[in-house]
Amino acid sequence: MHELAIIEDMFRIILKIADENRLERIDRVTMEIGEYRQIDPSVFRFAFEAAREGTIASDARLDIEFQTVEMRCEECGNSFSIENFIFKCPRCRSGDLHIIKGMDIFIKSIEGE
Amino acid sequence: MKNVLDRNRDMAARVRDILSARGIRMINMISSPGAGKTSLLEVICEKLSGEIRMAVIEGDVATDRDAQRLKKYDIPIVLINTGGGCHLDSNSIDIALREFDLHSLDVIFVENVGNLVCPAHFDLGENFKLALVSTTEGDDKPIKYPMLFREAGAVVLNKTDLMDCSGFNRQTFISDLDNVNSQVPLFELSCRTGEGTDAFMEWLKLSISK
Repeated sequence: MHELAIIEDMFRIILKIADENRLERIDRVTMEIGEYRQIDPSVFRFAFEAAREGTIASDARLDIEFQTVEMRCEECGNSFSIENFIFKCPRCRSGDLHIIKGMDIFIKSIEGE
Repeated sequence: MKNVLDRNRDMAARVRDILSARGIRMINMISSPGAGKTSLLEVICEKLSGEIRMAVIEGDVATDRDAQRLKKYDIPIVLINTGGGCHLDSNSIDIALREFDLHSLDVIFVENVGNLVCPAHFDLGENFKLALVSTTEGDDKPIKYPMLFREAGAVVLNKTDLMDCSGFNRQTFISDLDNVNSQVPLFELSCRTGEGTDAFMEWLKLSISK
């Protein structure tokens, strides 16, 4: 359900960028979503389709690229991707980890005219 | 690239600045509905309200029932009705803070909306998130809702008095929690019987005074 709040903030940003760049129509929005954020793509798309109604993005296409969660082990320095939500270093089994990638939700690009 | 989460994060940073300038700690309590957030707050009020100046921000989808339960402790309470919203955000906390006299507080407890998914992703400006689960919900919560347990600064397992009759496997729970977050402290207690609450209160007092 947090998809709805994220779509609201996303629209605030894309409409502002479109306005600043004098776009009259948004055709495509590409998102880069970290898997840490547990975004359900079908809920996200549904919210996107509801939010775009009546805006200059009313026919826009949504592309989503998911980014896997990458961590660095503070014990042995190993960098690795998280699988099955097990937050343990596969090399030394330490749980002292630092997230490097996969926790953000970026608007990667906006296309329009 | 624009980060969609920045708006909430920026406001959370503002809330954090406001609170730390006044030496106030904030604890964001997250659980599913019925796990015992309000019951734990009742125990905290009973045991600590004499020595720690506390306030509560109650986030509820509807009604003021939780706020009513805490009224008898005579502490400042601000109610946020999200009107269907599944989590609190930092903006609603910023607004709620204006209702308190921030010169006379040591700690603010935020009782988030009952939900194990969404609240984990929204920084409110808290010092730490407290994840609360109860034995009657089953032992699989850490692995099914890993992000909350990953984000938590402490985990409370409530309703230990019902562990046997609910078929809760303590070993499974502890091993799954260890896989998700091996560094988080776990407190096993029962708000109803009081078992285990003293150890948690000692830890809480220390974490508030830090």
